Amino acid sequence: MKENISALMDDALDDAAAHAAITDLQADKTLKDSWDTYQLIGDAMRGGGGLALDVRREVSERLRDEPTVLAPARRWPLPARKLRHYALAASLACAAVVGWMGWQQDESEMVVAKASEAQVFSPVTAVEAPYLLAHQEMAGTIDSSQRRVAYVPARDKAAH
Amino acid sequence: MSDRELDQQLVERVQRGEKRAFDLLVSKYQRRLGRLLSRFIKDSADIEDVTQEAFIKAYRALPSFRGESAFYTWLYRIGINTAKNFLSANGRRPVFKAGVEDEDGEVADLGDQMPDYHTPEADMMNRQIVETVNQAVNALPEELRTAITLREMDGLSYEEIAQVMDCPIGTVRSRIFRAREAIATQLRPLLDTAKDKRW
Repeated sequence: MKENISALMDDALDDAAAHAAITDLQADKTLKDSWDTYQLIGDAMRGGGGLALDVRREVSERLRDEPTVLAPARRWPLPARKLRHYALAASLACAAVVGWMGWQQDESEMVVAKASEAQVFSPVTAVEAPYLLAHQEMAGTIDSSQRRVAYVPARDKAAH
Repeated sequence: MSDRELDQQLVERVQRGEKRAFDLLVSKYQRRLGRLLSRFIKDSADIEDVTQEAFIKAYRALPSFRGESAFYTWLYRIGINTAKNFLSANGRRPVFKAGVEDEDGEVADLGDQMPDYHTPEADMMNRQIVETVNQAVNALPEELRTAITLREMDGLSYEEIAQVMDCPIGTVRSRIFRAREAIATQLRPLLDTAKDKRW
């Protein structure tokens, strides 16, 4: 039991053993004396002064008159493993949202593209071509290559 | 569990209403705090009073302690403020001012450089404790002496000591414990004698 107190001082106990050792320390005066003496030995070996100072009894007596302090339980940070899981889930969710938005955008672009395509090529139809050609000739702004293309009726394109 | 985690555990126990956990913190830090305060206050009885007062203030303030800084840093700040208030109330000036906080704002433990308490009784008690501990350490078998020295003076972990001494960690743990017990056996008669004295 005392060996655990010695190890507790040296950060050499895992959490469960440390919790148990602290509980034992609070309940057992002999263990508490060992804790006190081991602390003093450490301070003396490290060459510190003030070794004669001892306010344990006075503080303990004054604490008896103090109301017991109670604080709300502290929320410890999540363990690293849990954090990694949350980060992975968040990344996947983010990727899914971005992917969905991208897909939606593609769909819209396709619709726009089809609409544009229809607008661009619709003037060059068999029905409208002679009318347009007549006006273009009057305007004089279309070169001969465009005129040729515009002149070919759509239904005859397949034959060429 | 690291030293800081151990302190945090003790703090949380106090925050849950376990007053006795605070005794363990007092036992651990009273000498370090006293040495720090001796930079401000000359009289040994005053140092003792202010040390007590600082611990009581720390206890009262514990519900607001959230562990953002190490407990001892927080405690030292309370100690320094308590010392300043004490000196101010008594119309006195600090003995020393410099070197208490480093550039990060952390409170430095300058105990090794500090003068010891100033009463002859305190000086004598201090000397006796150091002599007893030194004699007990020198009387230890070599493997115990090496283990306890590497731990207490060099601050090595059990794993590092095991590497240095080429032995299992369990052996290191056992050697350090046996060394402490052997030294404590030599020290206890002196401490029992001193129990009812005020230094």
